[in-house]
Amino acid sequence: MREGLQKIVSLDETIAAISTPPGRSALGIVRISGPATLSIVSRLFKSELPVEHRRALVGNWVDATGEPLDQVVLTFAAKPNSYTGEDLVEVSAHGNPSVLYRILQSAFHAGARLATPGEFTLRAVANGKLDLMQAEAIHEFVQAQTEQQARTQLRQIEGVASKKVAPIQGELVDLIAQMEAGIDFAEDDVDVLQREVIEKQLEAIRNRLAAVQSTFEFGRLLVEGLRVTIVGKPNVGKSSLFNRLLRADRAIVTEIPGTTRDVLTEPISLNGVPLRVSDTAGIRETQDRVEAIGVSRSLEMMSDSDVTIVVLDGSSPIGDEDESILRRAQPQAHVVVVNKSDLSQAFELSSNGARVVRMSALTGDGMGDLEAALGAFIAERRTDTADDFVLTSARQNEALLRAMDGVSAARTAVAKDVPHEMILLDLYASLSALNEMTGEIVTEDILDKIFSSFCIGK
Amino acid sequence: MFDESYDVVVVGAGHAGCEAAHAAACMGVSVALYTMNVDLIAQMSCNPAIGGIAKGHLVREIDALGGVMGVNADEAGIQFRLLNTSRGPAVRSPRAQQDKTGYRFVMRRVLEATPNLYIKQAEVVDLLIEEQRIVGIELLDGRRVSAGAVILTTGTFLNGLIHIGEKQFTAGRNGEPASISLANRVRSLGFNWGRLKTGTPPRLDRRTIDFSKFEMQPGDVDPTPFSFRSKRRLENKICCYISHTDQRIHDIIRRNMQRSPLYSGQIQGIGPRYCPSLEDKVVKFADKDRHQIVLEPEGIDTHEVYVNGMSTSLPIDVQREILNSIAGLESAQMIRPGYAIEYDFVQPTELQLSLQTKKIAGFFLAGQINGTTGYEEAGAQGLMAGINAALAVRRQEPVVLSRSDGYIGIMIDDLVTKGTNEPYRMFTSRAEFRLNLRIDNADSRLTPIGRRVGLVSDSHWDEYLERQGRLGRLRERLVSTRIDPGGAFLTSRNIILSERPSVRGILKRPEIRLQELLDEGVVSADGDLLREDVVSVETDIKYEGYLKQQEREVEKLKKSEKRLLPDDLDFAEMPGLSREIVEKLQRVRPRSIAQASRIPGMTPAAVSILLLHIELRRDRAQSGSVA
Repeated sequence: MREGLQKIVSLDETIAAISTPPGRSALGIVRISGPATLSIVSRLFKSELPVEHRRALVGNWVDATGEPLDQVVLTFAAKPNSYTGEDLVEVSAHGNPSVLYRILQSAFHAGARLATPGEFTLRAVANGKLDLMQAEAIHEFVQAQTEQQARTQLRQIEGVASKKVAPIQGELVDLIAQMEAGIDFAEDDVDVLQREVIEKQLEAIRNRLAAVQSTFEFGRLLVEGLRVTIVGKPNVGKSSLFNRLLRADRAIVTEIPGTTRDVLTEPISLNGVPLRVSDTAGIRETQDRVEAIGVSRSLEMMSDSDVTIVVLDGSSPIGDEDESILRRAQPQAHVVVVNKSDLSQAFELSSNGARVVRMSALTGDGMGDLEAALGAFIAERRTDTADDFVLTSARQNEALLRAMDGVSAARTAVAKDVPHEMILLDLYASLSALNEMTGEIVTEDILDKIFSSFCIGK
Repeated sequence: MFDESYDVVVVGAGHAGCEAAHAAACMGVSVALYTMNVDLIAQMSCNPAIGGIAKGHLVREIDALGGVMGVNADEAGIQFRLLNTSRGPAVRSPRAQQDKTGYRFVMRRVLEATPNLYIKQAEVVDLLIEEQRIVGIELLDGRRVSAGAVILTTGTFLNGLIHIGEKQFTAGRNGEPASISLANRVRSLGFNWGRLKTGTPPRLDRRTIDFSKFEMQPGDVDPTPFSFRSKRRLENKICCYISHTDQRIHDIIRRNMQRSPLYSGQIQGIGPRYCPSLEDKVVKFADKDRHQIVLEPEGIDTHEVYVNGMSTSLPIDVQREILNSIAGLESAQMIRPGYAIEYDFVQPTELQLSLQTKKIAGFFLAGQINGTTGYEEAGAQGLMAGINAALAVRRQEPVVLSRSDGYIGIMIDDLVTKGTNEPYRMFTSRAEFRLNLRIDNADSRLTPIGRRVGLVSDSHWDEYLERQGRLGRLRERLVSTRIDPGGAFLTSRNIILSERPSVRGILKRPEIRLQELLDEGVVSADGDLLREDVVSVETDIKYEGYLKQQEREVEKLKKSEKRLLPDDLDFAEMPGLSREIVEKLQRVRPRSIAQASRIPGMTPAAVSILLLHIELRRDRAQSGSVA
């Protein structure tokens, strides 16, 4: 029973999972705990300084081939002085779910496996980090995870996603059953599926899974919001624009450059999609240490966001700093706002592909154009689904990606005429991933399917 | 008190009983094998064939461990076919039609030549049990026999009830009496038991068959033996014959459905999900307009022919009508009619993985009594029960095969952990490690175990070592031999390479076959390389990626199998387990985390909690603290 294997929790193994960090953030965390943690880190994390207990390091996380996946902050806690009591690493990456998934995958290839729900805490207890009294609370914790999920909207949404995936899972089970029947019952006059038929079915399954999974790009926006960062050199009116977007006076607007020292993040919504707009410190060369930190955070924020608003002061000529910021913003999704349209304009800006909006944060003139531009970014991410279904759970997204990987691997193998019993390994892996979303299909279910579809004799 | 005394008593000389008796005796304990009819030892109740997909795997494994089914089937075999030859290496499986009489003779000869084995004709009517331990048996004639261990391998004989149409009568098999007293004794032991049913088709007189209307199914040109030890050249002496039913016949069946005990409610026993009888096929698959029929001769010195695909319990007149409606069988005469049989079985969750019952020490069950169907399934269980009964008598630990060791391990684990509600038969899809459990590597997996236990003879072991040597040398040659990019082998296949890879590297290409490399002299052959040797080596190389994936899972399984659950674990005491799960755990009493995780309905959270508790318990024990 292969399904039994999925349930086995071995404390000797190294586990990994994507964790949503507490509080709302543009970051995502991959946690790795277990004996192979350091070896995984040494293979996949590249930084100038060595990894040490309790030291946070910036570096690159690479995949098995050495290709960098993301710049991350890595925090290592050596056993036994960690949450789980084992070597534990937290990899803080940009919150882009596909990047997080690939980081997780690279950890799997390097020897980790997916943690089961509550497993990090389980290890904490097993290693004596939480005391015996709390052991009784574990079942409640594990239970509560599901209870709570049942109660929250998230669970309801996940329930909808499960229903959406269930018919696709049914198709996969049908295919598996047919292939198994072709192996075990060839003598009973059951036909073996032709290669082309299998290829077609696999393609159909993968496409249907992809259609569900692709809604996550938008779904994530619904839950996490569109991250918008306002950047620009000092005193171009960023904070005024920020306030204008909020329609409230949140940021301190003064004449002195460098007043918004930190990053301010406030939620608003546009067309039903939450916007997480961040105002930043003006980006410029500075000797002031505090300001310099603010500047580097601004730059970091920019690369984390979904859309960047580059603000230029329309009433003064474009300077080097402006150009530098525009260059930095170039490779990303961005809108150029030429602010202070209430004053006489010092330059004409050709759009060169990016959206350009002329407006005045002071008067509000041109705000509609900016909102339209942001609305366009949202609309771009929305894939058309017939029933407006949108996937919002990162966990489910990751399971779908794993399922899709298995189906793709199977398809490649079929094209190479690999024997069916090997192809079925990939398909069972996909099925297992889908099981996480919809509830279990076990060997007996597949046998049921075979017997009800095919006339098998003694 | 006792008239006779043996270490091990085996009750029932079917396929399970013969393997059990032979194994225990070879291991050096005294064995008495009881049967109600010595002339019907190793009788094939149904199909005159051994093997088939997944079943052939079981026979190879029996052979690798030192059991007798494989060698016997090769000797008594009259037509040999390797199934699934065009499919992958893990699902190819041998099958051989048998001369039924010949098979019985061979088995009896083997048993009679086995030291320590005493064949007895007598009916066993009672089990003698004292304080939860079996101490012996009692015979119909009054004799009492003492035993250190008793293995029940009674097949379909316990309260056997035959149904043919509206008629029913007790029997263990048609023409043989059922075992009633013993059955009632078993029922009284407090085991969870039930009724199962199985069936068999009519047998025909070949002189009354027009074979010209059938498609011939000959044997393989180069037959594959069951046993690695078989030296003889196998010969195909007969053919089988294929045909189909049609709607006319299906209508006959439908018209008479109320006279079928399977459908009239006359039979209490549980039917399987699949379709053993023709009635089932016609009912469950009404739009299928034809079902396959295969005529299988039952021997070379007899004109009796078995009609595979026509298992039925319809009345005899209906059976005749059906037969006479099949092209070629218009004048066919029945020698024996088909029938269904119901019988008692014991829920195998009553057993430990060693096949010893949990409730009664020294008492083992093997074969159809555990809810399985098939000679091969029975033989494999018999073998394990025989080995473990002998070990129990010697007060040694039993041998338990894991799911990664072979299909035998899978079958016993499935039975003991999940129980069964229908006749359990083996399929390759039951094997999560299917890629590793192939017929070509059964010896590598199991012969060392058979040797350790004392079941594999010196000559068998020597042959095993020779084969392993051949495989090792071939593997080395593949690594050390480099292939010439400009040579005929590659150029004739339009393969262009810039360097000289090893032959092993080249073999990873799907289009390259090792046999061709050997035939064309690219790699030198050991004089006596067998076809199976080539398959073994080639498969391991070609599918290395997939095999490695399986290996990782096997490792994971092995680790969790080592996580043993103490016998005195009180599941009811563990917070966090639902009552339903506690009941399941109490019923099965799994011996490891691995087995626990396979109990139907176990959740990952429950497995985690179990694991947590044994970890905590271990820590408490180690630190000496009392919670």
